[in-house]
Amino acid sequence: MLREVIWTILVMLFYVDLVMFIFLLLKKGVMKYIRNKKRQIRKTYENEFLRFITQGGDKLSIEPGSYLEKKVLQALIIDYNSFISGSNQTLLLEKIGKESMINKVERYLKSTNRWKNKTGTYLAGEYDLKKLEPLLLKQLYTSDNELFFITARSLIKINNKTYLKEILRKSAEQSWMSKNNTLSLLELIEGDIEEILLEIMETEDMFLQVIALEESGKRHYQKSVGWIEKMSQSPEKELRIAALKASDRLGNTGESSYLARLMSLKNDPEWEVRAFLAKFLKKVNSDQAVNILMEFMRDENWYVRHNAAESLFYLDEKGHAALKALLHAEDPFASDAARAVLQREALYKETTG
Amino acid sequence: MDFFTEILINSIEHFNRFVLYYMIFINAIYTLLFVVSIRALYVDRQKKKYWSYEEMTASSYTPPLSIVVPSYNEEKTIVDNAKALLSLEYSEFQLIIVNDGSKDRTLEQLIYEFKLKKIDMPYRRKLKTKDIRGIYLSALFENIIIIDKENGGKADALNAGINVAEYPIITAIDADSIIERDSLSKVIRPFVEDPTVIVSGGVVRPVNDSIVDKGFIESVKLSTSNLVRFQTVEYLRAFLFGRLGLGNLNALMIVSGAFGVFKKSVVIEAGGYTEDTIGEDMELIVKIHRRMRENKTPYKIVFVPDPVCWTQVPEKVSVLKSQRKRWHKGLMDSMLNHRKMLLNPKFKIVGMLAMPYYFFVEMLGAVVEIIGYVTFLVSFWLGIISLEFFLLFLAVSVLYGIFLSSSAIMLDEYNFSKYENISEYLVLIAFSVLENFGYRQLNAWWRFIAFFEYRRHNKTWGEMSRTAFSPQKSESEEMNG
Repeated sequence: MLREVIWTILVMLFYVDLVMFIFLLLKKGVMKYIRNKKRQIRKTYENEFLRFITQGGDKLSIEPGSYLEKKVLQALIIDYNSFISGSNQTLLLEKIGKESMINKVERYLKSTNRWKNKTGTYLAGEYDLKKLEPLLLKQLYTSDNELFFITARSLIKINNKTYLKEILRKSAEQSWMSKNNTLSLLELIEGDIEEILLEIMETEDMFLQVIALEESGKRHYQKSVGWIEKMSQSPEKELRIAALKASDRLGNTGESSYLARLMSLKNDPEWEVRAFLAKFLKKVNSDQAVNILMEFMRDENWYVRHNAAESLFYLDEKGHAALKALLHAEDPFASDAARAVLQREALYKETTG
Repeated sequence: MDFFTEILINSIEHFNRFVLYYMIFINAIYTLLFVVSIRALYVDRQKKKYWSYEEMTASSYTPPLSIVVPSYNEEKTIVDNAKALLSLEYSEFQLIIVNDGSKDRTLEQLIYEFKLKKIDMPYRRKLKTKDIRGIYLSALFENIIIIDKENGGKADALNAGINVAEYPIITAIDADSIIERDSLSKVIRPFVEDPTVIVSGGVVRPVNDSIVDKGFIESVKLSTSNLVRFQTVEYLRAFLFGRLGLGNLNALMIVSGAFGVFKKSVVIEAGGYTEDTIGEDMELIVKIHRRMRENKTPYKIVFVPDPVCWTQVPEKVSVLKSQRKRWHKGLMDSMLNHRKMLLNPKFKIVGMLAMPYYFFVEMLGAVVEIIGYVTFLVSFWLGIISLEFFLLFLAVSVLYGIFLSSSAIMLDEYNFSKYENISEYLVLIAFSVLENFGYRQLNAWWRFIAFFEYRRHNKTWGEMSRTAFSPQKSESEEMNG
């Protein structure tokens, strides 16, 4: 009995191995042929394609006829997607058969297979398929975290800021959506979103307030100054940090109340807040900033001291004078950090001549 | 039949039965990993269709990372490799090369090439290491730091690099390894997707005979050395089945020292790399699992099949023997250090699947295999089993091995197609058959010896000397001593 079982397994394994071997051989052969073909087509298309997307014009001499040729053009569109927009994109999509593309993506979007669903969502954004917007909007309420992210991305790609408020509100509800993931979505938006961010700031949701504050600082919106001032005094550590991050991006506006509020954080009990303040102060070339940084060089937290030393490095003469004074400090970290920063400065000066 | 012969026959019969069940146990685990891996590769293939790595690389919100490269006597390759690492496609990173008391001109080469200057830079000594003799910054690149320290071994060098690392995520890369340009983005993706990810590892492949220029792979070629071909099949099987399968179950017990990405705070909390062990990479992962499970902190240790790190593998039998014995002793170290986790339900899948797999299959497998060969021969001689049964049993085990290896090769071709020529895959298939007739047994024998040579806390390393990669062809390592 056992012998028979073993014989059966043996014969089965032999055939399985044989089938796999033949499959591998055939697959490799066919794929190599297709790859070479695609390479040849791409070589023929690429120059004209690049000319078209860089110089524009109404004419594109590429006329893909076969399935493979259309696939190559599709790959080129995806590869250079960030450089294609407007009428260029319309023309290119027509070349690969816009209607059939829409049908295919729509089929994917409606598919019960989640991978096809995600691929369809991604392609809708890449090909700027506005027609599929209603399907994407419905999908924004998905419980699948990854699908939500891709849907939000595609909606932004198609409609820029139109659905930003919905996307942000849904982001706040998705527990896994990290702050950085949400901010990376905002990076895709072109143009002014100041009003939307200010509206978001009015909400009571701390996650959204942090996002709006950091983004408005990054985009150098003047109205963010008021929010930075307000949030820097918030009892929530996250908001105080966001205010400092925003101010670091925004820079020194020169407004005294703004600086005074931020500098008042020098005695903040949270080391992260002090560390971000130390980082921001590199943009404030004043005696008060240098004094705070000198104080920070003796802070109990390593990161605060480290950031303070780095900031003094950026504060030209005042900062350098402070660093030189710290060379003789009793605190070994302060003197070592000061020496390291000064040595680094000398090293870079040497290179730049 | 005398009394002793009767006892002998009895014992052999019991052992043969044990071997049979043992084989079923091993193959059941392999089959489980095989199924899980196929699913994971399918998922990976699908994910590539809707993820923009270019966007991720360009984003200012992709986490910055510190690359730590321990180096010891790497004067011939270090400059090219450092330049290659500096030109990796990634938004923000710093490169920390740790010269672990090299006896050659590794440091001098770096000083000359990157215009380094010694800086009295303060750093946080969170992990205890041998004394640092100096920290150097480059006048040419702001994101390169060289640490010159007393020799203390790879683990010590890595710990020193971690102490100096500025960013919250670190990656450890061997100085003789080559990373593909976009590998960092790929291996960091799990960190972007999921905040509970704390470690991520990538695939390591043999680079021997591939064309390497200025630290980058120009063309992937299958080596002409038979020994390297055997290892290529082995690497494919180990990474595409073993690690991918275990990684998907959050039970990965080893992330290769050649290429792994870690959350810095987790490594520091786990005490960094352990110095008095041979397999510091495995030991760190097991320590992290243990700590996270004991603290009941949610976490994931993942394996990404696509990012590839190319490394030189031994071309000499003596070097391979030494490497395999070292690996086996490293494995034993970790298994014995953390035996408390074995079959302990408190550690969930790590205690109930990964630890038993590594303990009973990887650690004891060679011992059972060697004794199994002997007892089968004795059984045949004593007439306990027939020649037909013996051959049948052997054939099934060999064919199943071929099935697993060729599946790995097929999956590799299906997903990654690293080798251009059909002939290279044919050669790999041939070697997946041939490895069952000598190579596998040789490996088992080395591990069998290592098992009995093993002494705890006895760390002996060979000294490595490397040759430079040439634009035509990479040459492999040599080992002295």
